[in-house]
Amino acid sequence: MSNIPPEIESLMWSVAESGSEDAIREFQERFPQHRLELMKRVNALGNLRKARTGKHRTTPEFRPTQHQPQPVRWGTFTLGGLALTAVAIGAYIAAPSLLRTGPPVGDAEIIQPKSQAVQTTAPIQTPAPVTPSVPQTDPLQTPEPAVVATRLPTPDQKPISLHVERANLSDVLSALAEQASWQLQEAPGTPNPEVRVDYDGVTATSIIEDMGQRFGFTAFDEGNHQVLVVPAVDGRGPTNVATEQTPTQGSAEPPLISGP
Amino acid sequence: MSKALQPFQAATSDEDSVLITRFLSGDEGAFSAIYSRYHDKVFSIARGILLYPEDAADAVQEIFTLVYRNLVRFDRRSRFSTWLFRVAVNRSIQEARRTRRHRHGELNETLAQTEIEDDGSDPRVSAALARLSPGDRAVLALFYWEELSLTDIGASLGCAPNAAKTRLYRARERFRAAYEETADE
Repeated sequence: MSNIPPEIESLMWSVAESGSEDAIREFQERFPQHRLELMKRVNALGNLRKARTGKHRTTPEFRPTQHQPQPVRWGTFTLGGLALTAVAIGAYIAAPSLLRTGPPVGDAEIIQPKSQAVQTTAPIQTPAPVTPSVPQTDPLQTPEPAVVATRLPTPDQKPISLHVERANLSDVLSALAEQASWQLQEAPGTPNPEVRVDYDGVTATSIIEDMGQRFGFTAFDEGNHQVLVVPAVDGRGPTNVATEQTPTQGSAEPPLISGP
Repeated sequence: MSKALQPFQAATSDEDSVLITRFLSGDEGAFSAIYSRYHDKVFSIARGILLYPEDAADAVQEIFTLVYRNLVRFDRRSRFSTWLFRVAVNRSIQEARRTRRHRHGELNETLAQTEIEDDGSDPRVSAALARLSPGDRAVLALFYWEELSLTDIGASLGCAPNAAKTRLYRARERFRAAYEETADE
């Protein structure tokens, strides 16, 4: 690229394009230093124009070219069809195993209810009609559980009776755990007041939930029949509901001391 | 393009329209007339882009075959010549890109000596054109050989006149540089 100012370059191309001898002579007089560059462009364009070779000696006769039809690629179609079929079969086979959830039946834990232990403590009685116990709360306030608890073990769904006139909460919980086949652990700080409980025909789960509400603790199912009792962190609401069953209270009496 | 040519262009366009109508009505001779009328121009464009006369001759046949089979699709919103040149440019550039791989090993000197000397023109022009891209050769052929206006060049290349002007100036500068390099060798 030559170091020619753009305006001179443009003028030089215009002069070369025109091919006018007068214009060329005038440019050379005004810009003698660019005379050589101008002549290069004049020669290049002149020779380019003369290089047109449109005139054929004889115009050949028009003969439409024959387009070869594209062969049908049967091999591609066959392979594609086989691939689609294989994918469909694979999906048909794999879908049921993918949809199956949970452990195999052989691994499921079968829990036998220990009704004998309950009967030793108190014979099973016809469950009295239970009425749902709704905590007295402000209807405008929806009580939210402080901690989401998981479902408690299932063997304690059998109704039992628990009557304690006067004992520490820890002892009562131990008695309850014994009936429900729980391994109970109390977290540090769990209140241990002297309480009195009186439950008839109520499940152990409901009992511990109701006691949690009354005495300020929360029972957590840790799986494998282990239950952890921790002090309740939210005093205004009920303790965490461990099961969907509403705790029922047969003839429970208020504790000797109230609250944790 | 000078204004003096405009009446001629209008008359040519009218004649083209009549020939097209006759051909679409079943008159095969009308297409022969179209072919004879535009063969040299189309060959010139193809020759400018493809460089090799044999390739250009084959391309011309393919171009007119395309026109022969697709003339029914010509909507007459532009001049027939513009439509034809656009087909010629596109088809020639496509062919140039396809054959470039096969021609890559050949020498430009061979091209210049065997093809251009017969015409008595400067062999360096073909050597310089061979160094340009097919697009640059197309715009140079349309402007310097077919003397189309920037508007018609834009229509043939599928761009605006200003874009055609820019492409022309760049192609012209690249040609000058290639021509001078060829002259120095």
